[in-house]
Amino acid sequence: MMTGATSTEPTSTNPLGPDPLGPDPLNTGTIRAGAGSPRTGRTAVRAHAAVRVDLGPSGVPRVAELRSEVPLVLRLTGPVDDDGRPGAGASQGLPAPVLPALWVHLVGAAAGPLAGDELRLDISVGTGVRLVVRSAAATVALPGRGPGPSRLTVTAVVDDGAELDLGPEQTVVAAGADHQLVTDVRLAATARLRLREEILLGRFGEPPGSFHGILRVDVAAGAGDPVPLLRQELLLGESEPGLRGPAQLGLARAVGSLLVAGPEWAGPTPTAGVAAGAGLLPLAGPGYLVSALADDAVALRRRLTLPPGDTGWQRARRPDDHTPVSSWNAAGDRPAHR
Amino acid sequence: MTGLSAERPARTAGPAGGEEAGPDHARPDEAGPDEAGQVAHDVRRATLLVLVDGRMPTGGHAHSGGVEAAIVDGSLADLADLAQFLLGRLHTAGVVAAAFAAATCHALTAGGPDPAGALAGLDAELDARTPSPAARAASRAQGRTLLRAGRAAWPVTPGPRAPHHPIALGMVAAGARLSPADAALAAAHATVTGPATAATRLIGLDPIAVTAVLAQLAGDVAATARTGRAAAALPARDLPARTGIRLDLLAERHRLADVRMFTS
Repeated sequence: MMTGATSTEPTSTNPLGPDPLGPDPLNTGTIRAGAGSPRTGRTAVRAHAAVRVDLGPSGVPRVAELRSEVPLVLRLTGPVDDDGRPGAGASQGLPAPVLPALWVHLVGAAAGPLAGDELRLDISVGTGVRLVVRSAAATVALPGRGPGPSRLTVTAVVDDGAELDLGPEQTVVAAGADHQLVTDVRLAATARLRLREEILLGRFGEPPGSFHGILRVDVAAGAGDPVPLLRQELLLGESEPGLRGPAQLGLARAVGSLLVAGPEWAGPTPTAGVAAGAGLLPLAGPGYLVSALADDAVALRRRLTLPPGDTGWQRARRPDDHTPVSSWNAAGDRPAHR
Repeated sequence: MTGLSAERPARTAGPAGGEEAGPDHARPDEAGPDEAGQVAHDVRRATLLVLVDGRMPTGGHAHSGGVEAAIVDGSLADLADLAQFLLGRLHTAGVVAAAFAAATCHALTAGGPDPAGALAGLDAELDARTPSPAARAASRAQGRTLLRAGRAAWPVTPGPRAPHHPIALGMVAAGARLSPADAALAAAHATVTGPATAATRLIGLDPIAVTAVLAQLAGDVAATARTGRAAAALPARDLPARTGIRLDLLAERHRLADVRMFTS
């Protein structure tokens, strides 16, 4: 295992749903990464994990596919009610969901990712289900011997009337690391999304490595091509020109965003606002982005989770002072909002 | 390279720009030793100078591109801060602007089946790259005034009344018979010159020293334009989306300010 060029870890696919008594994925990871084995000879890991949830034939939310591959291990974590069925739970700052929810945790079953690692997570949420994805711990991107950067690609497809709440813990870019995070989300016309990303530049007291993040979110619009909702690309390496200047990060060591999107999201789109190190940004399309900078992870999380209706946001005294001229509104074939 | 940042490979993949094979941006039909080609080339250079002249009434003088808000919040206090601000703006918003200006010019000059649809698609993609409503409004305001001036000067194709500024720049460049590479260069240039002038006016920096900063940025401006030009023929979805996070926050903070000298 340790000498293999590519992970040959068996794929655990669990189409039958909850498996609370299954093997502890952390043990699987220990076999691979523990025991003080030197990493010499290890090149790169390729892993593909997937979770697909939908309403089963009987109308009960089920996990249609749960595929794990070390180091990406997914566990169905509930919440589970007295009948052993998953229950609901509200996301912070959002209206209580009306959809039955399934919770999945991503459990890092090995250190890393390390340079050269190619990891992929595919998420699919079917109509009538809310999927909550969390992770058990922060991801620490590390340098390694592999060629090229480490890369985690997350794709998500959210069907009509479905909801995805994707909020993993922070990605820590350790000294010497070169990590890419690509997130690609496709929302159906009435799908809903809550997506949180947090990047910490370096572990405590160390200079950070290099991070390249790409975030793309599209919303279906009738029979035509999907409409772009958000495109962001972050190049966070200390050698990036002007990174530490007043246009990009300043002195911040923590960078994050929270996207709440979906034409059918309960409640009106909030008006724009600013708080210390954070902006509440209504998008041209259906949704808003909270964008934040901070000195550390705690302050970043606090800024990202400031509810859109909170009085902590400073707002323009005249809300229509800056009514955006949106091409989204101008085109009749696009979903209306506001 | 004399720029403020080290030369590094472009992170945005794309086909190599065919039109920048020669240093004079000569098109194949204009290349060669014949005098007509040289004249056409000179006309294009003269036209580009008109387009990027700060005295052209494009409304750019009313926008600081985040400089005023950065001065107010204390993060931009001197010439060194300004240089870092311009560098950061160039390599984020500048790359996006250059790519979209070039892509717009390409869409209008390459003979595609649906240039109007391509323009609408580019505009929507730029919306998605501009999460700040204040930044979107500023971009469209500048696009509208640029189009007004551009239409008086050149036969600019009909299109949206208030497109994003890079879209307007690409439209005007195409109307002026400039190339996508020219449009990208104009966009990259405008990304730094407007804010630099604003800083001079706001905190009384020595205009000669600010000019020196801009001169040192020439290499970065050229690299940004090359990146933009190289992306011109990509699907709109795959164009650069570089994000300057503080730029978004500054844009929103600026419109809350009680006293503003600049619109944005």
